[in-house]
Amino acid sequence: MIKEMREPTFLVLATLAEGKKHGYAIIQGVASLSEGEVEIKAGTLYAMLDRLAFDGVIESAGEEIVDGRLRRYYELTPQGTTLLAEESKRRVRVSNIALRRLRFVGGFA
Amino acid sequence: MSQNPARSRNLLKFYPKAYREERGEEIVATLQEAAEARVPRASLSDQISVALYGVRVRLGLTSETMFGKALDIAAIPGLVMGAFFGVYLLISGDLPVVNSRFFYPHFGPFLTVGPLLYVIWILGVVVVFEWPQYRRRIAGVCMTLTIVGEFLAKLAHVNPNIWEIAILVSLGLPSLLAPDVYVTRRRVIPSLSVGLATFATLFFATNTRVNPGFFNSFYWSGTYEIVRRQPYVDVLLLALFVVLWITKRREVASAALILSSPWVIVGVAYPMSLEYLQVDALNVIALIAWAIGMVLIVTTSRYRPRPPAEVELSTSNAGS
Repeated sequence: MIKEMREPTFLVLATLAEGKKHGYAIIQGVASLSEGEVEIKAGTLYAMLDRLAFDGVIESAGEEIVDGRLRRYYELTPQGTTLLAEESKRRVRVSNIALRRLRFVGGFA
Repeated sequence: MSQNPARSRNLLKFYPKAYREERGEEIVATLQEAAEARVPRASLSDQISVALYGVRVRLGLTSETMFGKALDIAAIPGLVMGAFFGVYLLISGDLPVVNSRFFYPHFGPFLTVGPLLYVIWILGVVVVFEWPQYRRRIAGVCMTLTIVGEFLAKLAHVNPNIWEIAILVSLGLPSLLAPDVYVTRRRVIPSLSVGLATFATLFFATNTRVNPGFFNSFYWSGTYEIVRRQPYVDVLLLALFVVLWITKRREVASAALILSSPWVIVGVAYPMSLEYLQVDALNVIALIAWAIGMVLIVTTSRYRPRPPAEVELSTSNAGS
């Protein structure tokens, strides 16, 4: 059960919201979403995938052999989809409040 | 830049066999794809991270296991316990000694590195409370400086107390080994409670009528007093462990067991290292109980393969 969602976890789940992805595609997706700010190492990725699968947030979605390499795909579970939606709404809500306040004090162009 | 698949497969040796069989080829494929896209330095850090995670899986030090969760809980309280141990050593040990006409100038803060080490631990805790995500690095710094301090102390004093150094270093281990790297929970109240309880127990256990207010961190009587009163502390720890276990707070109970490790071990190891001291039978019983508990935690934390999922295996030569 995820009590608080950290940025890398959020980015992994947001990457999987696009559809099922394999290991390296997730690394690329996180780098792209964060505009290069967050770079997940391969070992860290598998630690996260194991934890998220254990928590029932993601699940394996099939395997494929591409150019002689095994790719295992991952996708969000219904629980993971709900969790990501709730976290996204929370972040939007906080961001909107922050932007409104910045406009109020004239600090936001 | 491509990478030799044999080298990637060699990294899998760090993983337990069951994990290797389940995920090995997938990890090799990810490493290969990452190596083709990244600069050599990034590729090397990918390999290191894969190897380190393998060691963690093998030792059961992952976020999903009882051992990993217990270490996460014990991490910051362990550092705080170390800092309070330092405060205790300073108040009850180094300061009285420097004021003593009998011992000055042979012992005390001006001739040993003790107080410097305590300050490092206290500062470390302050930093961890502010930025908990750096707890692993800070624990590493505190532990390294404590070990280096031991060697420096030997230059000033022929017989520094190795047991106190061992206790301090052990209290940093949970932070170093805890699997959760993106830590945001500070656990300030529980950590300070653990620290204060440690301080109070040590203070009252060693402040004897024979030796009131005296304890020298680099002298011998303090460790003797700690070990002499250890059975009382063991009974309290056992009661705490049982209550936590019965009330289903098993990860917290395991964390308490981890934090009691240095005290329980020193309770037996210290008298064993001295010919003229006998090991208290209660301390031995406590050590056996502790060892059984730790074996249970570690064995239940071993990697077990998941039941095979129904997957569709297809072959393709297409790109991603």
